[in-house]
Amino acid sequence: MTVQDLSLAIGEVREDYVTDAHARRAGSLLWQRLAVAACAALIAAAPFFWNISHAPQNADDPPPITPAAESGDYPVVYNELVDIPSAVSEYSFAQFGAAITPEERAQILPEDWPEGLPTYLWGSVGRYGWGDVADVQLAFQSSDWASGLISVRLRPEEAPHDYLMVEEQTDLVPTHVEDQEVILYRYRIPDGGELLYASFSRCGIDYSVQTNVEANQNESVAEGDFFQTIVCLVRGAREVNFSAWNKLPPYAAP
Amino acid sequence: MDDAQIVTLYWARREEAIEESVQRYGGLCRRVIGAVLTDEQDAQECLNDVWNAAWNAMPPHRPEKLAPFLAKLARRAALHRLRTQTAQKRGGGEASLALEELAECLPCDGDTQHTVEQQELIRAVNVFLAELGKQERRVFLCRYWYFDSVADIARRFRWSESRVKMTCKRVRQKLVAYLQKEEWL
Repeated sequence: MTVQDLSLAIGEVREDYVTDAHARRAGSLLWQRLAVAACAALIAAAPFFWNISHAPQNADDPPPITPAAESGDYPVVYNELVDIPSAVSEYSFAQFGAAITPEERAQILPEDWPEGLPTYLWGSVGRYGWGDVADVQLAFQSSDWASGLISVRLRPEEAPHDYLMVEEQTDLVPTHVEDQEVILYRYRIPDGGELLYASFSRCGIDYSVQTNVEANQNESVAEGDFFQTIVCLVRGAREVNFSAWNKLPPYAAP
Repeated sequence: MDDAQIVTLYWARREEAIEESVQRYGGLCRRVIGAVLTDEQDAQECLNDVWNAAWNAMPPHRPEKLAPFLAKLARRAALHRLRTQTAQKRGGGEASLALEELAECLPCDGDTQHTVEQQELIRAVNVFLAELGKQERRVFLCRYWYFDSVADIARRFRWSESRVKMTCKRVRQKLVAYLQKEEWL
């Protein structure tokens, strides 16, 4: 068999596959527009990235709303390193949070959205051990806070130590949410760095979070490497994106 | 005018069939061809080949959906033209690069003695694609059917380019394993 044979065979595959691969999907143009807007806003909001004055004292505390968020600036409201006491968890992580502004809420949520409006969200990345990467947690706070929390976390025993291939894990059960399918992808990028990606849906809204860790050498990520967390909410053709950069914190030994 | 009406025009041997096809699907075919052929004149000539091929194919064919039918003709014509060109292998656009990547799935000696039963191979590739996840199949076909660039696929799926490359690599590895299991390799 030659590559031409294979290519010709691919060219004759089922037409519905071919059509589906290039099907126009809702939101792509809006995504691009918002991505541009997000980049501009992130640059403008850069001082907030390193501002730890608004840090929550623990993961259960709601993040505060800063004047920037209230005034409608792009919604990174805090972004900092948080050390979890070893008695609570064996890893440290950095996190960022964002408040959904009223304008964005109107854009992404239906008018008849029931009680329990998600008003905050935050993402985090953590590390299980030195040179090991990482988990991602995405949490959404509802107006009644406790009941609306969604958390996606890869537990230590599920974290392979020599993953070079992408892994798809569909059996993770997020806390406080039943019947929720969560897909978590875990990557090691060959030229250094790591990428985590999770997606799920709830009440007609698709949520995704992507954490891209940029290693400073072609080694496992370590303290000081940069990571970016991108959170995307999609409902129909409407999207809202949140993004923040941070540095990986030092590992908190148990 | 919908697809069925255009096909009826082809069957009636009326030239408006081509005019309607150009109007509705010219852009699609041009894009498929453009991913394979970088030279504008080649691409335009190839596009003319597509309308000729469509004219000759209908009848006897009566496709339900014209878009994939014409896109397939465009891909076939563009690859045929690419093979007959004397252009250097590199610089031949995304198709050359994509074909190089696909070549990794095959023995590198290039002088395999197997006679390929093309229809069987098509069936096998269809089975392989059916076993893939939706997103993997979409990415694979964007890359190796449409010859989209990695950057274009990343934009389409809102992924990072690294993720696209990794997905392509993983699917190619699965394809190798599948072709070996089916004794194509």
